[in-house]
Amino acid sequence: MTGLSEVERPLALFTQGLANRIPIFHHEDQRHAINSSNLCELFLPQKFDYFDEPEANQDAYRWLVMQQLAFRRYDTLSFSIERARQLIPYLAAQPLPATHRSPDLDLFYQHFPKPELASYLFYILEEYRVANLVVAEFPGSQRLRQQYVCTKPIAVRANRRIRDGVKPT
Amino acid sequence: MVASGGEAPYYLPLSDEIDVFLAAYSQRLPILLKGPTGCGKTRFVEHMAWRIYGDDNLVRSPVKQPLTTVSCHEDLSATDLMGRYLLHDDSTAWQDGPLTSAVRHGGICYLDEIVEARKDTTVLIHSLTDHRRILPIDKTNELLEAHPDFLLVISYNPGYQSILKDLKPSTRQRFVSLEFDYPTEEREAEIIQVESGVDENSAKTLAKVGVHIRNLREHGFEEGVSTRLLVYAGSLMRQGIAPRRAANAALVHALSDDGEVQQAIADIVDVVWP
Repeated sequence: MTGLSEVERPLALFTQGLANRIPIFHHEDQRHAINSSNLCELFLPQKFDYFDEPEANQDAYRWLVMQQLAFRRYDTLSFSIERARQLIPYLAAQPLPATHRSPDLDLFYQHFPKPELASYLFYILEEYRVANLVVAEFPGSQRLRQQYVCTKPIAVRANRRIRDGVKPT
Repeated sequence: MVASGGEAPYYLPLSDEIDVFLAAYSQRLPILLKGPTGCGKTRFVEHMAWRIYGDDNLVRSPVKQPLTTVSCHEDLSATDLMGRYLLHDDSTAWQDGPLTSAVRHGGICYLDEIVEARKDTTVLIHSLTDHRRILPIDKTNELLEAHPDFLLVISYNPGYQSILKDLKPSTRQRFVSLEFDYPTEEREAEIIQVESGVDENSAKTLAKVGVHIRNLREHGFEEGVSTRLLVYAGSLMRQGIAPRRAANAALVHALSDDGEVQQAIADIVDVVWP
């Protein structure tokens, strides 16, 4: 098992090197409490026990950092439901969910008969899209990606959602 | 020293620094180069010395030594620059120091990292940096007028100087100032490729590594990685060392003694390199 506190400083330096911003790490369960796109806030598991070797768990932390930076860099987090409704006739034909104060992605999921499934599928597609972009930009990260993705099934990975929501069943 | 003939020392201009330097030289205005370690200041001076003293239109007469470089350090004194009497058999004879020699015979005298030297060195150069262009030598009772083709160039690195070692305004304001910084990623890749002989893709990857490592300034290495170190990494690769090992040897351990910073640099290299 590897705790975030054990790897926090080198991971923060690694993040700063890639993003040129000083990161603030939060535990995943704080996701609802703090959410500001102005800061380089990343949400990471408090501990990793996916792998037996600490190095592999550290690699997993690094991959999660790269993935979350990529969700910002490649516009996942700038998703606009208004823009999506302009572009996709199916969405425009649906009534706008009443929960206007919800994040745009949550509003997006509410457009579908099974919002949980929509959220799950969106994560799969977005994870794949962003991971390809990360690897194209940082070819050496392919090893981290494969190690992480091939070891854990999608259902487990999807628990680490872009935004918190109901976990897939 | 730079020979005035032969091939020009490679230098890729970043801006208009060559034009400004030539203009300053034509008026014999002293020049101050500011910039971080390993960004190409010394190479620039070598290149300019080659240009100027290889061109009969720019100099009045050939000079024996186009460039004299003095790497200043904390023990370097005015005497070291000016000269001293040395024992010869049963007598003593005056021996010009590097600055006096350049003032007497012409050429560029480049005082690298001038603020590292003792304070008396900056007083020494004041009379060379205004309209007088003279060097008073007390020990020989000489008032040496600068050779018409003499030029004083100094450098300093504001990044890591403490306030105690900063260049005084009274000195700074005697120089035309040229600012240097690390080149853009594209230009740095070009420099790495030419200087190390490594292939284009590897040069581009090294330049990218440089950009990301520089994001870590102020973590034990105030200036980030120098172009020089990236060239070293390329040179090791050119000699057959595996890329990650070359980067490890030339960058990771050279930049910091902090284990966690080293780890972060190695991690950055790891993801950037294919």
